[in-house]
Amino acid sequence: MQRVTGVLLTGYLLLHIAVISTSQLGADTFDDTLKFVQHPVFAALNIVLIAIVLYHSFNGVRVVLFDVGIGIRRQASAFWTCVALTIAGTGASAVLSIPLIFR
Amino acid sequence: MASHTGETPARGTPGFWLWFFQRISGLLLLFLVLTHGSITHFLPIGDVQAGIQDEPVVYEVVKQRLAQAFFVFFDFALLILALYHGLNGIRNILLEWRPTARRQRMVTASLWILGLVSFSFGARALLVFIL
Repeated sequence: MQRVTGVLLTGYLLLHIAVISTSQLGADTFDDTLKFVQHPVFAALNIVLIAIVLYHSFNGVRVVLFDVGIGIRRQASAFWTCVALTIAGTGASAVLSIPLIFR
Repeated sequence: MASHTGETPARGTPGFWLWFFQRISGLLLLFLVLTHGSITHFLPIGDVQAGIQDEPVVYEVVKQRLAQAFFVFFDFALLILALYHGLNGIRNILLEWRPTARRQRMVTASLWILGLVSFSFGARALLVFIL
């Protein structure tokens, strides 16, 4: 899962750089492009991105903690803590995104 | 599954610093990405609702933010660390298929080129707002 989410995030990073590169074509082109990628449909899809970012982040912290020898005996609860934090963070950002999705 | 990149490499082996910096960049990115998302994409939602700006990210707002030296440093750190962490992660995955030394060099060189080209696009995109 860490690999799958990592590859997805790297792909997203390259797309994200491509989108902001439109700033080189002028303020109007930049604003038109960003208006398109901030359409309510993308605002909703953004919640999926946030879920992937949060899972990869929390699971990454778990990997680092295991590397330094913390929590190895509690692997199952460490995993479910990651899942719980991801769900909580994704839920919170979904609520905050409501004004961007329904407008 | 103690670590998704296999066993921890011993200090002094060639893979150690790459492995180590993958962890350091990851921890820094945890802070940088969540801060970037909050400030750039969530904080302006109030201004969008108030009708002050059309979208969370608009040219003028980005320009004002990048007039502050802190955000210039922040965005360049994010760009460099995210590219390093993402492309090094992809390299780790590809090397797990144990390619020949020649293929391994090709993978490394290709990812370096992809990283440098992406950095140049990202840096030039930011410089439009800064200069």
